[in-house]
Amino acid sequence: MALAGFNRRTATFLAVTALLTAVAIWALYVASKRARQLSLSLEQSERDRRQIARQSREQEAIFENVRDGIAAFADDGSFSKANARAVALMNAVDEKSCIELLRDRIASHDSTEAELDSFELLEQVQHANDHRDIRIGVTRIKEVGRPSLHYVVLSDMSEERKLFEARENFISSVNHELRTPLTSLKGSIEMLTARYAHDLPGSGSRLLDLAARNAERLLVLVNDVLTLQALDENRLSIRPERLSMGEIVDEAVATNEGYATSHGVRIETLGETEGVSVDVDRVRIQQIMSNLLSNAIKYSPSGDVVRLLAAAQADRAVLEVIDNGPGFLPRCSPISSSASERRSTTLRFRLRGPVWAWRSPQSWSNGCTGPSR
Amino acid sequence: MRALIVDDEPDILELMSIALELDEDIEGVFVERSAEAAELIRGEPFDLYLFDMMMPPPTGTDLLALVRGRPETASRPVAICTASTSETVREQLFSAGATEVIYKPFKPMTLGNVLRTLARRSGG
Repeated sequence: MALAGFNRRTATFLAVTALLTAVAIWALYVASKRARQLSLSLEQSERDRRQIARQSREQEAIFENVRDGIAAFADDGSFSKANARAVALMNAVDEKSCIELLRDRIASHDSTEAELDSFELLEQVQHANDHRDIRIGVTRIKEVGRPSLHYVVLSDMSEERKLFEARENFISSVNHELRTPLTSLKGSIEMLTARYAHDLPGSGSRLLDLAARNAERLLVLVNDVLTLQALDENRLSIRPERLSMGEIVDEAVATNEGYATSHGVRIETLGETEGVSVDVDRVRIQQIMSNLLSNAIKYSPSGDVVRLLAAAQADRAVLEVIDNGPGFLPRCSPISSSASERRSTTLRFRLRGPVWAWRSPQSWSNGCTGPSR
Repeated sequence: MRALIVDDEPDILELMSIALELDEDIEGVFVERSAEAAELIRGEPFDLYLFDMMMPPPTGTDLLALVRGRPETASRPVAICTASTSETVREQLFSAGATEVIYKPFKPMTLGNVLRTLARRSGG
């Protein structure tokens, strides 16, 4: 009996020991696994930290080296930052004084209650040798219960103005230098034609016509440069006057007939313009018609016809230039991408009132170069 | 009708001279140097004046001021010839006293008529 009791106690002891051993092994396994995971996490954190540090250095480099001044600050002074360019443009001694100067300039602007507010200021800042025009673009963000944040971009307009003036002077100079010899050239050809063309042999007259056409085209190009400049600067002048459609058509054909003849193309006018008048700028409408007709002529095969359709439709007058050339690229077509539709460019005019509408070059915005093909 | 025509470009002067040679009612005096033109302005008045705007000083606008500043010529028609198509320049020329602005390139075949019309408008 004593032996049986001993055996029982030994078996129990062995069982408990085995159980505890198994638990210990399991705990070791779990701990080891967690240690490995922790080690991996630490490595990942270290990599993330290094990446963040690198990105921060890159952003700092960009922030400090952009051409424009950049600054940001909170209303309550809890946050502020300005790059070196901003400090220089505001002629400040350091970042802190730069922010103060900006705060003063911006404070004078009317504050709105909008959560997001953007505005621009044009300020003169005194520098050592001159004063500079600085454009200050401000975005202000307001959040309930938090100080407003200001994000500021500063640009030196003085350099832009100098470039603008230099370009204007250049174009003005080129315009003058081209128009002066053009005056002699066109004038001489016109007088030669008027006074002596009948005395010239056939080839002589053709040479005169050729010279006259090209002198006229040169003048058109010079005028186009000035027009583009005026458009670019939003100072294109439009002087509407009441013109008959017949007058517009006749002048457009007369101006472009020589060019058409030189390309072996004929201009045909269609439609009825009797009694139809529109309010347009005489010079600008002829510029448009010349651009459209010359493009149509240029891309028409020799022997072909370019049609100029003029008609009145309800309360609109329509001018349409139709040709059989290769047409626009599908993405550039102002009318339709269907190859089966006739290729044309259409101007529509309201018959009453001075405003007229036409397809702007923005219609050809997908990498196309405007009405020219 | 005596017209003083001043332009520092000899080709333009010759063009105008040829253009007006068939206009028997217009006697053109063609001057290339604007300083010489200023002396002529101070002398016997002309019936009308035509100046190129951009010349070495005195410029066309300087000569215009000279014409307008003398009682004998203050009311005489003065046309300024310019290559500038700027509306601002046009307004400035009229403000300065120009009677007409002629743009380059102009049609030489119509020059005689332009000058006659100018003279008529000014009562000449």
